[in-house]
Amino acid sequence: MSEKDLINACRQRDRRAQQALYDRFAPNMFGVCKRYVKTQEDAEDVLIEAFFKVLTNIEQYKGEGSFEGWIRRIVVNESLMALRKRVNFSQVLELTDVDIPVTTSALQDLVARDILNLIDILPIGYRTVFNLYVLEGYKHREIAQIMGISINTSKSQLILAKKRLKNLLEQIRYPGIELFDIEEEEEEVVEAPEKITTKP
Amino acid sequence: MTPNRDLSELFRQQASKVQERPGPSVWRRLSRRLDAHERWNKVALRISTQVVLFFLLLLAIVGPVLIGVSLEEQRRAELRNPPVILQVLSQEDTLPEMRRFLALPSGVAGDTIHVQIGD
Repeated sequence: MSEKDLINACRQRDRRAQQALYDRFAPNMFGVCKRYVKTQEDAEDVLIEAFFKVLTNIEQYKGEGSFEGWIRRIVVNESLMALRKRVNFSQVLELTDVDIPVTTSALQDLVARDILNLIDILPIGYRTVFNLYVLEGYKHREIAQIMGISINTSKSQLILAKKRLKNLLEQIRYPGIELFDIEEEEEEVVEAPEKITTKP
Repeated sequence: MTPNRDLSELFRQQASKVQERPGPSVWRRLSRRLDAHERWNKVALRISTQVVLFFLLLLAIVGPVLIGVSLEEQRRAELRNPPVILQVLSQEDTLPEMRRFLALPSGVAGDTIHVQIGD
């Protein structure tokens, strides 16, 4: 069944088509959820909520842009909403600047698996900015708006995240890590630094 | 090894490869949620239809009654306040009794009394 037929069938609330759509996109989207929320249970909850919204609001997809991109936006939004329930980004970012030591043995376990798991080691602020900017393609302006932080904070979180990742890759002796560049590729309008306040 | 490789690109490449199938319970939960949503939609549709029908029925019953009452009220009002009789006055009608009669209110707002004196 083509994607268009699948969407049309889902608009008719055809349960088999809904399951087919879920089967087609869930594996990718589950990976997206897991990059934002740490536990399997939370990621599953986010995935269910996101697909529920996709399937009950499928009429809103007008066929402009990729359907997968539309679903992905919903999944990312749901993931961020789940994060926001627990974390106030504007308050935690300052705290996450403190380095959390990671043991080399824990890193060695990751080598054979997936370097993407290194993102999970990052503090929540770094991880969210890195995911949104690098993997989802959001701009700093958008990230600042979504997370309730300033553009400069978003930029600094990204640079710190990249530095930390490079450091982690060095620790696991990732081949050619010394040649990796962590400079930000995009320049945006610079705004005044934000004053970050934390709860006493 | 490529010099000056971008760290972001490395993670992007990895992310595009990641596929992880969620457990079968996830679809079951989602399916149950969709069922509940559809059931609720049907109930909501039924309730809203019943509410609309109830008001239409109410309008169908009460409307004619209200119109009937209104017409009856109008008729009674007309009986209570009969139309003012046009008086043709002569020279003798300038008696005080007649003047008092003319001073009586017509009973209906906007009514006028035409007074013709003499021929």
